Amino acid sequence: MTTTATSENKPLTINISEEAASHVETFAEQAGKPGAYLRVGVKGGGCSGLTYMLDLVDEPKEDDKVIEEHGLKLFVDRKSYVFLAGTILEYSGGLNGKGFVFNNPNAKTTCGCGTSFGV
Amino acid sequence: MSQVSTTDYSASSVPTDTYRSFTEGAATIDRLDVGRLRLAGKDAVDLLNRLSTNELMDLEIGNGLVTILTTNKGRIIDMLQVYRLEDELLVNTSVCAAGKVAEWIDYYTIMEDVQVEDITSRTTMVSIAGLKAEDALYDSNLPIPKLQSFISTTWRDTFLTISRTDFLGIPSYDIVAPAGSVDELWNTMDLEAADREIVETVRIQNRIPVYGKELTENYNPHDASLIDYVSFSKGCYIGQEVITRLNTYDKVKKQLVGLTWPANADVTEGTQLMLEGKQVGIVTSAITSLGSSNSIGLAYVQKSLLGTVIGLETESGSPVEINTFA
Repeated sequence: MTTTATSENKPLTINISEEAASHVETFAEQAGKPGAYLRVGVKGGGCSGLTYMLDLVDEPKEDDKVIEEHGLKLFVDRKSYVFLAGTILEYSGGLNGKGFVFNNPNAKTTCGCGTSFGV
Repeated sequence: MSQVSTTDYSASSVPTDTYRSFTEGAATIDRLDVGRLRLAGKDAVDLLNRLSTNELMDLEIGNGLVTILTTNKGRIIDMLQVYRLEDELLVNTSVCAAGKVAEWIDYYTIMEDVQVEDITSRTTMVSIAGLKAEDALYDSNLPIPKLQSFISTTWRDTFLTISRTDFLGIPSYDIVAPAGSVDELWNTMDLEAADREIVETVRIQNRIPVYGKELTENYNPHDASLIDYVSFSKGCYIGQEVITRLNTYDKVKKQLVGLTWPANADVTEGTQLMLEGKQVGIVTSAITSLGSSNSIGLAYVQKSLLGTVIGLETESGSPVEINTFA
Protein backbone atom coordinates (compact mmCIF):
# COMPACT_ATOMS: atom_id res chain seq x y z
CA MET A 1 0.00 0.00 0.00
CA THR A 2 1.33 3.43 -0.86
CA THR A 3 1.22 6.07 1.83
CA THR A 4 1.63 9.75 1.02
CA ALA A 5 4.44 11.10 3.15
CA THR A 6 6.54 14.18 3.69
CA SER A 7 10.28 14.21 3.13
CA GLU A 8 10.62 13.15 6.77
CA ASN A 9 8.40 10.20 5.90
CA LYS A 10 5.53 11.44 8.09
CA PRO A 11 1.98 11.14 6.71
CA LEU A 12 0.70 14.45 5.32
CA THR A 13 -1.58 16.21 7.72
CA ILE A 14 -2.46 19.73 8.80
CA ASN A 15 -0.41 21.07 11.67
CA ILE A 16 -1.19 23.99 13.89
CA SER A 17 1.51 25.85 15.77
CA GLU A 18 1.29 26.25 19.53
CA GLU A 19 0.87 30.02 19.17
CA ALA A 20 -1.92 29.63 16.62
CA ALA A 21 -3.70 27.11 18.84
CA SER A 22 -3.46 29.54 21.75
CA HIS A 23 -4.92 32.36 19.66
CA VAL A 24 -7.81 30.16 18.54
CA GLU A 25 -8.70 29.63 22.19
CA THR A 26 -8.49 33.37 22.85
CA PHE A 27 -10.64 34.23 19.85
CA ALA A 28 -13.19 31.57 20.81
CA GLU A 29 -13.52 33.11 24.27
CA GLN A 30 -13.79 36.63 22.81
CA ALA A 31 -16.48 35.40 20.44
CA GLY A 32 -18.46 33.96 23.32
CA LYS A 33 -17.77 30.41 22.18
CA PRO A 34 -15.33 29.03 24.74
CA GLY A 35 -14.33 25.49 23.93
CA ALA A 36 -15.35 25.82 20.28
CA TYR A 37 -13.46 23.87 17.68
CA LEU A 38 -11.69 25.18 14.62
CA ARG A 39 -12.90 24.40 11.13
CA VAL A 40 -10.50 25.12 8.30
CA GLY A 41 -11.29 24.82 4.65
CA VAL A 42 -10.95 26.12 1.17
CA LYS A 43 -13.49 27.74 -1.12
CA GLY A 44 -13.38 28.75 -4.73
CA GLY A 45 -12.66 32.41 -5.45
CA GLY A 46 -10.09 34.99 -4.56
CA CYS A 47 -7.65 36.35 -7.10
CA SER A 48 -5.71 33.11 -7.48
CA GLY A 49 -8.57 30.64 -7.49
CA LEU A 50 -8.92 29.35 -3.94
CA THR A 51 -9.41 31.11 -0.61
CA TYR A 52 -8.74 29.87 2.90
CA MET A 53 -11.55 29.65 5.42
CA LEU A 54 -11.46 29.64 9.22
CA ASP A 55 -14.51 29.22 11.42
CA LEU A 56 -15.37 28.38 15.01
CA VAL A 57 -17.82 25.50 15.26
CA ASP A 58 -19.41 23.33 17.90
CA GLU A 59 -19.00 19.96 16.21
CA PRO A 60 -17.60 18.30 13.10
CA LYS A 61 -19.67 17.55 10.03
CA GLU A 62 -20.15 14.05 8.79
CA ASP A 63 -17.04 12.85 6.91
CA ASP A 64 -14.88 15.64 8.34
CA LYS A 65 -11.30 14.77 9.04
CA VAL A 66 -10.47 15.52 12.69
CA ILE A 67 -6.95 16.60 13.65
CA GLU A 68 -5.86 17.34 17.21
CA GLU A 69 -2.75 19.26 18.20
CA HIS A 70 -1.76 21.40 21.20
CA GLY A 71 -5.09 20.61 22.79
CA LEU A 72 -7.07 22.04 19.86
CA LYS A 73 -9.38 20.00 17.66
CA LEU A 74 -9.38 21.06 14.03
CA PHE A 75 -11.95 19.87 11.50
CA VAL A 76 -11.51 19.85 7.73
CA ASP A 77 -13.80 18.52 5.03
CA ARG A 78 -12.37 15.89 2.70
CA LYS A 79 -12.26 18.02 -0.45
CA SER A 80 -10.57 20.95 1.28
CA TYR A 81 -8.07 18.51 2.77
CA VAL A 82 -6.83 17.68 -0.73
CA PHE A 83 -5.70 21.31 -1.07
CA LEU A 84 -4.47 21.68 2.52
CA ALA A 85 -2.55 18.47 3.25
CA GLY A 86 0.88 19.42 4.54
CA THR A 87 -0.20 22.91 5.63
CA ILE A 88 1.03 24.44 8.87
CA LEU A 89 -1.38 26.95 10.37
CA GLU A 90 0.59 29.63 12.17
CA TYR A 91 -0.12 32.95 13.79
CA SER A 92 1.69 36.14 12.89
CA GLY A 93 1.19 38.78 15.56
CA GLY A 94 2.57 42.22 16.31
CA LEU A 95 2.30 45.51 14.44
CA ASN A 96 2.96 44.00 11.03
CA GLY A 97 1.31 40.69 11.79
CA LYS A 98 -1.06 39.06 9.37
CA GLY A 99 -3.04 37.03 11.90
CA PHE A 100 -3.53 33.40 11.01
CA VAL A 101 -1.26 32.31 8.18
CA PHE A 102 -1.56 29.14 6.13
CA ASN A 103 1.87 27.87 5.12
CA ASN A 104 0.61 25.60 2.39
CA PRO A 105 3.12 23.60 0.32
CA ASN A 106 0.45 22.98 -2.34
CA ALA A 107 0.12 26.70 -3.12
CA LYS A 108 1.95 27.37 -6.38
CA THR A 109 0.69 30.94 -6.67
CA THR A 110 -0.64 33.39 -4.13
CA CYS A 111 -2.27 36.78 -4.54
CA GLY A 112 -0.82 40.00 -3.17
CA CYS A 113 -2.77 39.89 0.08
CA GLY A 114 -1.94 36.24 0.68
CA THR A 115 -5.49 35.09 1.34
CA SER A 116 -5.90 33.42 -2.03
CA PHE A 117 -3.84 30.72 -3.68
CA GLY A 118 -3.68 28.49 -6.73
CA VAL A 119 -2.48 24.92 -7.01
CA MET B 1 1.65 59.07 -39.12
CA SER B 2 -1.85 59.91 -40.24
CA GLN B 3 -4.93 59.90 -38.09
CA VAL B 4 -7.27 56.97 -38.39
CA SER B 5 -10.11 57.71 -40.74
CA THR B 6 -13.56 56.48 -39.87
CA THR B 7 -15.30 54.14 -42.23
CA ASP B 8 -19.04 53.89 -41.84
CA TYR B 9 -19.58 50.43 -43.17
CA SER B 10 -22.87 49.93 -41.40
CA ALA B 11 -24.74 51.98 -43.97
CA SER B 12 -22.84 51.69 -47.20
CA SER B 13 -21.18 48.32 -47.17
CA VAL B 14 -24.14 46.08 -46.55
CA PRO B 15 -27.04 47.47 -48.53
CA THR B 16 -28.90 44.31 -49.44
CA ASP B 17 -32.63 43.91 -48.94
CA THR B 18 -32.05 40.70 -47.00
CA TYR B 19 -29.87 42.57 -44.55
CA ARG B 20 -32.41 45.36 -44.11
CA SER B 21 -35.32 42.96 -43.74
CA PHE B 22 -33.44 41.37 -40.85
CA THR B 23 -32.18 44.44 -39.00
CA GLU B 24 -35.24 46.59 -39.67
CA GLY B 25 -37.79 43.78 -39.44
CA ALA B 26 -37.59 40.59 -37.41
CA ALA B 27 -36.21 37.12 -38.00
CA THR B 28 -35.50 33.97 -36.02
CA ILE B 29 -32.02 32.75 -35.17
CA ASP B 30 -31.58 29.15 -34.08
CA ARG B 31 -29.14 29.55 -31.18
CA LEU B 32 -27.11 26.41 -31.68
CA ASP B 33 -24.13 28.50 -30.52
CA VAL B 34 -25.41 28.68 -26.93
CA GLY B 35 -24.86 26.15 -24.15
CA ARG B 36 -27.19 26.19 -21.16
CA LEU B 37 -26.29 25.29 -17.59
CA ARG B 38 -28.48 25.16 -14.53
CA LEU B 39 -26.82 26.00 -11.22
CA ALA B 40 -28.88 24.84 -8.27
CA GLY B 41 -28.13 25.02 -4.55
CA LYS B 42 -28.18 27.79 -1.97
CA ASP B 43 -24.59 28.83 -2.64
CA ALA B 44 -24.84 29.13 -6.44
CA VAL B 45 -24.98 32.93 -6.58
CA ASP B 46 -22.19 33.36 -4.04
CA LEU B 47 -19.93 30.86 -5.80
CA LEU B 48 -20.39 32.27 -9.29
CA ASN B 49 -19.84 35.74 -7.83
CA ARG B 50 -16.48 34.56 -6.50
CA LEU B 51 -15.53 33.01 -9.84
CA SER B 52 -16.49 35.75 -12.30
CA THR B 53 -16.05 39.46 -12.97
CA ASN B 54 -19.45 41.06 -12.50
CA GLU B 55 -21.40 41.72 -9.29
CA LEU B 56 -23.94 38.94 -8.91
CA MET B 57 -24.89 39.46 -5.29
CA ASP B 58 -27.18 42.36 -6.22
CA LEU B 59 -28.84 40.47 -9.07
CA GLU B 60 -32.57 40.32 -8.39
CA ILE B 61 -34.80 37.39 -9.15
CA GLY B 62 -36.16 37.76 -12.68
CA ASN B 63 -33.14 39.70 -13.91
CA GLY B 64 -30.00 38.79 -15.78
CA LEU B 65 -26.52 40.11 -16.42
CA VAL B 66 -23.38 39.31 -18.31
CA THR B 67 -20.32 38.20 -16.38
CA ILE B 68 -16.98 36.81 -17.48
CA LEU B 69 -15.28 33.70 -16.24
CA THR B 70 -11.54 34.36 -16.10
CA THR B 71 -8.44 32.39 -15.14
CA ASN B 72 -6.22 33.48 -12.27
CA LYS B 73 -4.22 35.38 -14.89
CA GLY B 74 -7.32 37.35 -15.85
CA ARG B 75 -7.70 35.57 -19.21
CA ILE B 76 -11.13 34.88 -20.64
CA ILE B 77 -12.60 31.40 -20.26
CA ASP B 78 -16.04 32.39 -21.50
CA MET B 79 -18.58 35.19 -21.33
CA LEU B 80 -21.70 34.11 -19.44
CA GLN B 81 -25.27 35.36 -19.62
CA VAL B 82 -26.70 34.67 -16.16
CA TYR B 83 -30.35 34.76 -15.05
CA ARG B 84 -31.46 34.56 -11.46
CA LEU B 85 -34.48 32.43 -10.66
CA GLU B 86 -35.94 32.00 -7.20
CA ASP B 87 -33.69 29.12 -6.21
CA GLU B 88 -31.25 28.63 -9.08
CA LEU B 89 -29.28 30.31 -11.81
CA LEU B 90 -29.56 29.73 -15.52
CA VAL B 91 -26.25 30.30 -17.23
CA ASN B 92 -25.81 30.62 -20.97
CA THR B 93 -22.33 29.80 -22.25
CA SER B 94 -20.86 29.20 -25.63
CA VAL B 95 -22.00 25.73 -26.68
CA CYS B 96 -18.36 24.76 -27.16
CA ALA B 97 -17.45 25.94 -23.65
CA ALA B 98 -20.40 24.50 -21.72
CA GLY B 99 -18.46 21.43 -20.58
CA LYS B 100 -15.41 23.48 -19.64
CA VAL B 101 -17.49 26.01 -17.71
CA ALA B 102 -19.36 23.23 -15.89
CA GLU B 103 -16.07 21.55 -14.95
CA TRP B 104 -14.58 24.87 -13.82
CA ILE B 105 -17.53 25.57 -11.52
CA ASP B 106 -17.53 22.00 -10.26
CA TYR B 107 -13.78 22.13 -9.52
CA TYR B 108 -14.25 25.17 -7.31
CA THR B 109 -17.31 23.75 -5.56
CA ILE B 110 -15.68 22.54 -2.38
CA MET B 111 -17.87 23.02 0.65
CA GLU B 112 -20.63 24.86 -1.17
CA ASP B 113 -24.12 23.61 -1.89
CA VAL B 114 -24.01 23.93 -5.69
CA GLN B 115 -25.04 21.46 -8.38
CA VAL B 116 -24.27 22.08 -12.03
CA GLU B 117 -26.40 20.51 -14.74
CA ASP B 118 -25.93 20.86 -18.48
CA ILE B 119 -29.44 21.27 -19.93
CA THR B 120 -28.36 22.19 -23.46
CA SER B 121 -29.55 19.01 -25.13
CA ARG B 122 -32.96 18.91 -23.49
CA THR B 123 -33.82 22.52 -24.25
CA THR B 124 -33.96 24.59 -27.39
CA MET B 125 -33.24 28.27 -27.81
CA VAL B 126 -34.31 30.60 -30.59
CA SER B 127 -33.80 34.35 -30.73
CA ILE B 128 -36.24 36.76 -32.35
CA ALA B 129 -34.04 39.62 -33.51
CA GLY B 130 -34.48 42.88 -35.37
CA LEU B 131 -36.14 46.26 -34.86
CA LYS B 132 -39.59 44.65 -35.05
CA ALA B 133 -38.80 41.73 -32.75
CA GLU B 134 -41.04 43.19 -30.06
CA ASP B 135 -43.95 43.40 -32.50
CA ALA B 136 -43.44 39.74 -33.39
CA LEU B 137 -43.78 38.72 -29.75
CA TYR B 138 -46.77 40.99 -29.28
CA ASP B 139 -48.53 39.55 -32.33
CA SER B 140 -48.11 36.06 -30.87
CA ASN B 141 -49.52 37.14 -27.50
CA LEU B 142 -46.19 36.56 -25.82
CA PRO B 143 -45.01 38.74 -22.92
CA ILE B 144 -42.23 41.24 -23.60
CA PRO B 145 -39.43 41.37 -21.05
CA LYS B 146 -37.19 44.40 -20.52
CA LEU B 147 -33.51 44.30 -21.36
CA GLN B 148 -31.64 41.88 -19.10
CA SER B 149 -34.77 40.43 -17.57
CA PHE B 150 -36.81 37.36 -18.31
CA ILE B 151 -40.41 36.22 -18.11
CA SER B 152 -41.59 32.64 -17.73
CA THR B 153 -44.83 31.87 -19.48
CA THR B 154 -46.73 29.12 -21.24
CA TRP B 155 -47.74 29.05 -24.85
CA ARG B 156 -50.33 26.38 -25.67
CA ASP B 157 -49.24 24.35 -22.62
CA THR B 158 -45.55 24.66 -23.44
CA PHE B 159 -43.36 26.28 -20.79
CA LEU B 160 -41.24 29.10 -22.20
CA THR B 161 -38.67 31.46 -20.81
CA ILE B 162 -38.34 34.71 -22.75
CA SER B 163 -35.50 37.12 -22.10
CA ARG B 164 -34.12 40.17 -23.83
CA THR B 165 -30.36 40.29 -24.31
CA ASP B 166 -29.72 42.21 -27.56
CA PHE B 167 -26.82 39.81 -28.06
CA LEU B 168 -26.06 41.15 -31.56
CA GLY B 169 -26.30 44.80 -30.56
CA ILE B 170 -29.83 45.01 -31.99
CA PRO B 171 -33.12 44.20 -30.21
CA SER B 172 -33.37 40.48 -29.63
CA TYR B 173 -35.47 38.21 -27.47
CA ASP B 174 -34.25 34.75 -26.56
CA ILE B 175 -36.88 32.04 -26.15
CA VAL B 176 -35.94 28.84 -24.34
CA ALA B 177 -38.27 25.84 -24.27
CA PRO B 178 -38.11 22.06 -23.88
CA ALA B 179 -36.42 20.56 -26.93
CA GLY B 180 -38.75 19.88 -29.82
CA SER B 181 -41.77 21.50 -28.18
CA VAL B 182 -42.09 24.78 -30.00
CA ASP B 183 -42.10 24.09 -33.74
CA GLU B 184 -45.73 25.15 -33.75
CA LEU B 185 -44.79 28.49 -32.18
CA TRP B 186 -42.26 29.23 -34.90
CA ASN B 187 -44.83 28.33 -37.54
CA THR B 188 -47.35 30.63 -35.90
CA MET B 189 -44.91 33.51 -35.71
CA ASP B 190 -44.23 33.07 -39.41
CA LEU B 191 -40.83 34.76 -39.40
CA GLU B 192 -37.94 34.17 -41.76
CA ALA B 193 -34.91 32.40 -40.39
CA ALA B 194 -32.04 34.88 -40.46
CA ASP B 195 -29.26 34.18 -42.91
CA ARG B 196 -26.13 33.05 -41.05
CA GLU B 197 -23.89 35.43 -43.01
CA ILE B 198 -26.10 38.36 -42.15
CA VAL B 199 -26.09 37.45 -38.47
CA GLU B 200 -22.30 37.29 -38.59
CA THR B 201 -22.16 40.62 -40.42
CA VAL B 202 -24.29 42.33 -37.78
CA ARG B 203 -22.19 40.79 -35.03
CA ILE B 204 -18.99 42.08 -36.56
CA GLN B 205 -20.45 45.50 -37.29
CA ASN B 206 -21.42 45.83 -33.64
CA ARG B 207 -18.07 44.47 -32.50
CA ILE B 208 -19.57 41.61 -30.48
CA PRO B 209 -16.86 39.12 -29.47
CA VAL B 210 -17.57 35.38 -29.56
CA TYR B 211 -16.01 32.35 -27.95
CA GLY B 212 -13.13 30.76 -29.83
CA LYS B 213 -12.46 33.87 -31.92
CA GLU B 214 -12.28 36.96 -29.74
CA LEU B 215 -12.95 35.20 -26.43
CA THR B 216 -10.00 32.92 -25.71
CA GLU B 217 -7.40 32.56 -23.01
CA ASN B 218 -5.10 34.79 -25.11
CA TYR B 219 -7.13 37.84 -24.09
CA ASN B 220 -8.48 39.56 -21.00
CA PRO B 221 -11.72 41.56 -20.59
CA HIS B 222 -9.86 44.86 -21.18
CA ASP B 223 -8.55 43.62 -24.54
CA ALA B 224 -12.03 42.51 -25.59
CA SER B 225 -13.70 45.81 -24.55
CA LEU B 226 -15.85 43.95 -22.03
CA ILE B 227 -15.07 46.22 -19.12
CA ASP B 228 -18.77 47.03 -18.65
CA TYR B 229 -19.08 43.48 -17.34
CA VAL B 230 -16.35 43.89 -14.73
CA SER B 231 -17.04 45.19 -11.23
CA PHE B 232 -14.10 47.04 -9.71
CA SER B 233 -15.80 47.30 -6.33
CA LYS B 234 -17.06 43.80 -5.60
CA GLY B 235 -13.85 42.43 -4.12
CA CYS B 236 -11.99 39.28 -5.02
CA TYR B 237 -12.80 36.84 -7.80
CA ILE B 238 -10.51 34.63 -9.79
CA GLY B 239 -8.34 36.89 -11.94
CA GLN B 240 -9.31 40.08 -10.10
CA GLU B 241 -5.80 41.06 -9.08
CA VAL B 242 -4.50 41.04 -12.66
CA ILE B 243 -7.57 42.70 -14.17
CA THR B 244 -7.54 45.48 -11.59
CA ARG B 245 -3.80 46.06 -11.96
CA LEU B 246 -4.11 46.37 -15.74
CA ASN B 247 -6.76 49.02 -15.16
CA THR B 248 -4.97 50.91 -12.39
CA TYR B 249 -1.63 51.12 -14.17
CA ASP B 250 -3.05 51.46 -17.69
CA LYS B 251 -1.18 48.37 -18.84
CA VAL B 252 -3.67 47.11 -21.40
CA LYS B 253 -1.69 46.27 -24.52
CA LYS B 254 -4.29 45.15 -27.04
CA GLN B 255 -7.73 46.26 -28.10
CA LEU B 256 -10.47 44.72 -30.15
CA VAL B 257 -11.20 46.85 -33.23
CA GLY B 258 -13.27 46.69 -36.37
CA LEU B 259 -11.52 46.42 -39.72
CA THR B 260 -12.35 46.98 -43.37
CA TRP B 261 -10.38 45.84 -46.40
CA PRO B 262 -10.98 45.44 -50.13
CA ALA B 263 -13.17 42.38 -50.71
CA ASN B 264 -10.64 40.84 -53.06
CA ALA B 265 -7.85 40.92 -50.48
CA ASP B 266 -6.78 37.66 -48.90
CA VAL B 267 -7.70 38.30 -45.27
CA THR B 268 -8.96 35.50 -43.05
CA GLU B 269 -9.17 34.67 -39.36
CA GLY B 270 -5.60 34.40 -38.12
CA THR B 271 -4.14 36.83 -40.66
CA GLN B 272 -1.41 38.88 -39.04
CA LEU B 273 -1.53 42.67 -39.28
CA MET B 274 1.76 44.38 -39.94
CA LEU B 275 3.20 47.87 -39.54
CA GLU B 276 6.61 48.63 -40.94
CA GLY B 277 7.44 44.94 -41.03
CA LYS B 278 6.38 44.17 -37.46
CA GLN B 279 3.31 42.26 -36.35
CA VAL B 280 0.96 44.61 -34.50
CA GLY B 281 -2.29 42.68 -34.61
CA ILE B 282 -4.22 39.61 -35.63
CA VAL B 283 -7.55 39.17 -37.40
CA THR B 284 -10.05 37.17 -35.31
CA SER B 285 -13.20 37.37 -37.44
CA ALA B 286 -13.55 38.01 -41.17
CA ILE B 287 -16.51 38.12 -43.51
CA THR B 288 -17.11 39.32 -47.02
CA SER B 289 -19.73 42.02 -46.79
CA LEU B 290 -22.82 41.27 -48.73
CA GLY B 291 -22.84 42.96 -52.09
CA SER B 292 -20.07 45.35 -51.16
CA SER B 293 -16.59 46.06 -52.44
CA ASN B 294 -15.30 45.95 -48.89
CA SER B 295 -15.00 43.11 -46.38
CA ILE B 296 -15.21 43.57 -42.65
CA GLY B 297 -13.75 41.88 -39.63
CA LEU B 298 -12.53 42.13 -36.08
CA ALA B 299 -8.96 42.14 -34.89
CA TYR B 300 -6.84 42.61 -31.83
CA VAL B 301 -4.43 45.45 -32.46
CA GLN B 302 -1.65 46.93 -30.37
CA LYS B 303 -3.46 49.57 -28.32
CA SER B 304 -0.69 52.17 -28.50
CA LEU B 305 -1.24 52.48 -32.26
CA LEU B 306 -4.91 53.35 -32.05
CA GLY B 307 -5.63 56.96 -32.85
CA THR B 308 -2.33 57.45 -34.62
CA VAL B 309 -2.00 54.86 -37.36
CA ILE B 310 -3.99 54.70 -40.54
CA GLY B 311 -2.31 52.13 -42.69
CA LEU B 312 -1.84 48.58 -41.61
CA GLU B 313 -1.34 45.75 -44.00
CA THR B 314 -1.44 41.98 -43.99
CA GLU B 315 1.61 39.76 -44.35
CA SER B 316 0.92 39.61 -48.10
CA GLY B 317 0.67 43.40 -48.36
CA SER B 318 -3.10 43.92 -48.55
CA PRO B 319 -4.15 47.24 -47.03
CA VAL B 320 -6.38 47.04 -43.97
CA GLU B 321 -8.12 49.93 -42.29
CA ILE B 322 -8.97 50.15 -38.62
CA ASN B 323 -12.50 51.26 -38.03
CA THR B 324 -13.14 53.65 -35.20
CA PHE B 325 -16.87 53.14 -34.87
CA ALA B 326 -18.09 53.09 -31.28
